[in-house]
Amino acid sequence: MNELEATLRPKETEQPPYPPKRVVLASGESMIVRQATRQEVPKLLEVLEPLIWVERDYYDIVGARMFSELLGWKRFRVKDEYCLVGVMNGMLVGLVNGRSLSRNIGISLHTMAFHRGLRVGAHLFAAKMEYHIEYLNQREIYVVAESPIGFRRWMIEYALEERRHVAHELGGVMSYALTRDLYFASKDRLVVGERPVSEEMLASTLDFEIPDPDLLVTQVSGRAK
Amino acid sequence: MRDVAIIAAGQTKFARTEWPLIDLLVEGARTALADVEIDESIIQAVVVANMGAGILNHQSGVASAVVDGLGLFPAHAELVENGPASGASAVKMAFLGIAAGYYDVVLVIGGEKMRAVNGWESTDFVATLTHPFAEYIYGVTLPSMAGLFARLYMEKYGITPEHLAMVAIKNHNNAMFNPEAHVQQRITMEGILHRPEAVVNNPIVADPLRMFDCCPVSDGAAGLVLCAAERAGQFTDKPVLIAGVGQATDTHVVHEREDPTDLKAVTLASEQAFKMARVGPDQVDVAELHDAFTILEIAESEHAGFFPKGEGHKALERGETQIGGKLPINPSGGLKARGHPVGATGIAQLVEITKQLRGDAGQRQVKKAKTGFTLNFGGFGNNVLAFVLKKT
Amino acid sequence: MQPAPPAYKCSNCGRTTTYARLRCLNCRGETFEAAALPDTATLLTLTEIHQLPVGFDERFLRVGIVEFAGGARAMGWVTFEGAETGTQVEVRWEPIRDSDGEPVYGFAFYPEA
Ligand SMILES: [Zn+2]
Repeated sequence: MNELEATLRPKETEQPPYPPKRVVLASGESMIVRQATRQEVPKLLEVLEPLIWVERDYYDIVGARMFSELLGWKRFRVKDEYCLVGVMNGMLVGLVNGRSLSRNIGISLHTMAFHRGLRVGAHLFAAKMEYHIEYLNQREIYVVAESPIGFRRWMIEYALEERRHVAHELGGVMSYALTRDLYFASKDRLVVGERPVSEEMLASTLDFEIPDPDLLVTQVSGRAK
Repeated sequence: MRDVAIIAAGQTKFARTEWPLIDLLVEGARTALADVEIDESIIQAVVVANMGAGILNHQSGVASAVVDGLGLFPAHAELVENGPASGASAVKMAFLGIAAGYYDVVLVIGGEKMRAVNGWESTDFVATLTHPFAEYIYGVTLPSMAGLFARLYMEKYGITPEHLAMVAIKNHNNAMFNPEAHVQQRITMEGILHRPEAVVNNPIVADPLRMFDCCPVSDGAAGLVLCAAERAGQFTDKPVLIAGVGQATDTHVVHEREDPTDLKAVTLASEQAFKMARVGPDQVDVAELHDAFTILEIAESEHAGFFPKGEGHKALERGETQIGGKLPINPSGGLKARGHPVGATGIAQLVEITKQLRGDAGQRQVKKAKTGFTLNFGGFGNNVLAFVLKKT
Repeated sequence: MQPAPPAYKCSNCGRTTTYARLRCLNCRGETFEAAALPDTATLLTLTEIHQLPVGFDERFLRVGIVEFAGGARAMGWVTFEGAETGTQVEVRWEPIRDSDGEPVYGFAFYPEA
């Protein structure tokens, strides 16, 4: 790496990994939640790309921001970012990402679910909180949302605290925070799943398929095909 | 009174759509009109069922707008708003017009565009049907009215959360074979109740009711063409006869009912429909009940006379209400999985029974269905309509 | 001092409701007199509402229906945990919501002292 590149590239902090878990969904099917690798980013971008034109529920902003965050991570332009993916029957059903602001503070970035009606988003958001609090051992996580639906869901379900003096890095809006206390107070009803995940199951998630982009856009936008 | 037949039936796919309300209603009407070869200029009236245009879509004059959208001038047009029973009420009004001899052919179309607003706003919209001072001010929702009812009903008759889940699982399975259903997702007892993950998979909405005990919030429309039975043969080989119509009301405030577990209006409306049709509940081959909440399918199956009080959940347990059972209930998926765009529901129930009696229900067809029944439950049981349909 | 909870007794048949009506549900009588409700009542049924309508930011709210001796019933907020059908509660009439800055009164149920 040349000197200029080293200057432009944020220095990564060594982070403990997110241990994969298995979540049995309402359908009885298993979703494996595991950490994505940098090499998988192009596939994730492929899923997100068509969504950046869907205005409904702020899919456009969430999609575009997530696209740029993951691209930034892949090309070494974001510090200490990670991404968790949910894979069911070899198919990508959702992803969440976040990063560490410091040793004690986590930043929740985005949550996207591609399968409706099975609470994939709720499970993945919970997995993200779990990672920050239980594995990165952080004091609190700053959370905001672009969509009113997302905002109301996380605020009410987790009873987040206001951080009036913290402008969230997503658009500069006031942050809310999930503290360790809040997390452990609601963990029983929000964070589920089994560990360890068998080698075989984990292997089934390695070369995951991605949802058909046309179908996905139809599904999230409610547009007739 | 003249006999009245259904000569065409159709519905849009229930879903979350981008259609504006009037387009949705027009599309629902088109699906019904496409079901029969008819010179549309003979349609004398359009009866439209819708509950929430004023609140959800900031629109009034809906029936006139639908006639305009269809280009059916100078057909008569009226809107029927009767809460979640608007659909069945609209069909009843069309039925009366034809039975009386005033009309020969009437188009009935019901629809709702509920996803125009957020979930908590649509929850509030539906809650406006409760009593403003005795109920609404406490933040009640329709699921919570069902929760209050479910707790009592379950305690009284020994119904368990598993029984409620069985209703949901059955109706979700049925909807897998209904391409127009909103929710096409199989669910399992493990996943929604027995696994530790169930707390997230199936959270409490209004205890004892959980997410999978409640219908989704849907957009959609459904339509029927009704015709004097004596002329029905001109249009179709398979007219379906509206053999019985019943309706009954009950107190607005649910706790004013002497026994809050007694759905009197369901019993009375059903009895009236059966009496008019001159059949008994034991002669019904297929039924569409108003399972906005799983507990209601069980309670209604008893109050309508299909099973004795306290036996509905046992019949369910024995599989009698599955397709292939003694009395298949909600082969379409019901409100639970087909979806519940409130103004469309009562009509969608009749669309399903029409298809079943004609033998057009595809993979969810109930074999040898000759007599069908629908129950559309308005308010929290304060305005209920029942229909008995017969194959001709 | 808090105002007493409302109760309207039909002058003709005696049926009592906890909200004003123009006509009696039992006899269609149209004259009512103010009645006093007992301080306690029995919880007939209750539910914990987790998906609340617009205007509520709580995670959940408990709502129940009580029956007073004499038969009148009322809906109200159950303010405590652990209540079940049949639980005896103390009944209060108090501000439960706010409408344009004005308090809205309603029934609230507390554990019996
Ligand atoms: Zn009276």
